[in-house]
Amino acid sequence: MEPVVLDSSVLVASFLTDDHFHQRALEHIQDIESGNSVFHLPMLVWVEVIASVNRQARKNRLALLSRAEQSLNSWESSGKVVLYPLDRDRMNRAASVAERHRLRGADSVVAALAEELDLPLRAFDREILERFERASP
Amino acid sequence: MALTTVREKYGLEPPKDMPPKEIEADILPVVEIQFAALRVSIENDTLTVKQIDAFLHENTEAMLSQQGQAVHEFLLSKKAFLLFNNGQQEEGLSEYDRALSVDQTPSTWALKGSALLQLDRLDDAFDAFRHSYSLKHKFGPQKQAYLVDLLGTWSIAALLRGLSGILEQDIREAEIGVFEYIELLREATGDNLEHLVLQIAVEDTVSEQLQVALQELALMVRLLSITDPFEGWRELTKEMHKVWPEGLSAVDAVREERDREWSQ
Repeated sequence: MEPVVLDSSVLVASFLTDDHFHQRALEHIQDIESGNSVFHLPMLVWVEVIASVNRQARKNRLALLSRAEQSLNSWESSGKVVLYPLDRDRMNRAASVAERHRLRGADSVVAALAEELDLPLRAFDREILERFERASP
Repeated sequence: MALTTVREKYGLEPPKDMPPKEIEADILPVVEIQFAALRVSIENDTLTVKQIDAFLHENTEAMLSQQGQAVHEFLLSKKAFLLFNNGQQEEGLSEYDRALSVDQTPSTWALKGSALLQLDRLDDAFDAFRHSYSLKHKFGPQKQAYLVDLLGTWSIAALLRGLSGILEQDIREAEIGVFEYIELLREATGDNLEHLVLQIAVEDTVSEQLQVALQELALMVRLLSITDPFEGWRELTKEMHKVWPEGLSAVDAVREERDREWSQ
């Protein structure tokens, strides 16, 4: 089993069939479905996924949000997703990552969790991939 | 916003009231022998609160026998119904509780649920309907008619709650209604009674706003009925494809969120 830290873009791409990274994102989802992986997420990622659905869905917003939340809640209950709050220690780590890797604020929060847990980071954002050595698609 | 207010605002039909409780056929002979004076009023459905009070006052001991208890429960439930429909709503609810303390009958639970629904006490109403349904084996010879009314009223109330949540853009309210509907449909299906549960129909005679909301309600019921989170995610994927802005990548959507979060 290879636990990973996941950037929001992976979860969002997993439900966008036309996205360039859709197939790769699906492989990550299949990994937790089969029990081969666990997603470690800053709580920020959860919020960003929900906010993306909320902002971008042009209709049926509530039905889609509710479905997304139900799956995420179920994954958390079954231990397939583990959530991490942004406390003072993580704030300091994220600030340090931002300084060292010249990442943006939210990107640093995600990257810092990977560093803290000593886990690979799965992300599709080019800037994160270029600047943070633990990151790969 | 209260369900009644939402219903009126969007011109939605209210759930129909449960019909008045009817006396079980096997109790009538008991009434005939012991309480002859009441039989005519019961059969003609002309019982009054005063008549019930006087009768119960005069027949306290007779109400303690097993058959007397059945009559006692029936009369208290009838009194509750009369009080409630005469505008004395709290008194009516108290009498329903008294009736249920004598005997837990599914018809009285259903009537209490219907009363609570009229007061917009939706959680309590659903709780009463659940009690009623769990006691359905005690419905007696009129079981089929009661089940039609119970499942019909319960399901329309749950759907109305879900619909009002969608119309008012209140996701939690919509979810409560939808989950109530899914659960009752699941139970009814397990008992081969799903045909008595109201289905969502989108008719083109209603306003466009209502049609859109009903379509979303139907989708929400379908998506939230899926218990497997991965299967649910796959269904979400199919639906997102229809509503996501063309050409917008996941990275850009997240970047948009981050630029917004960190620039505010």
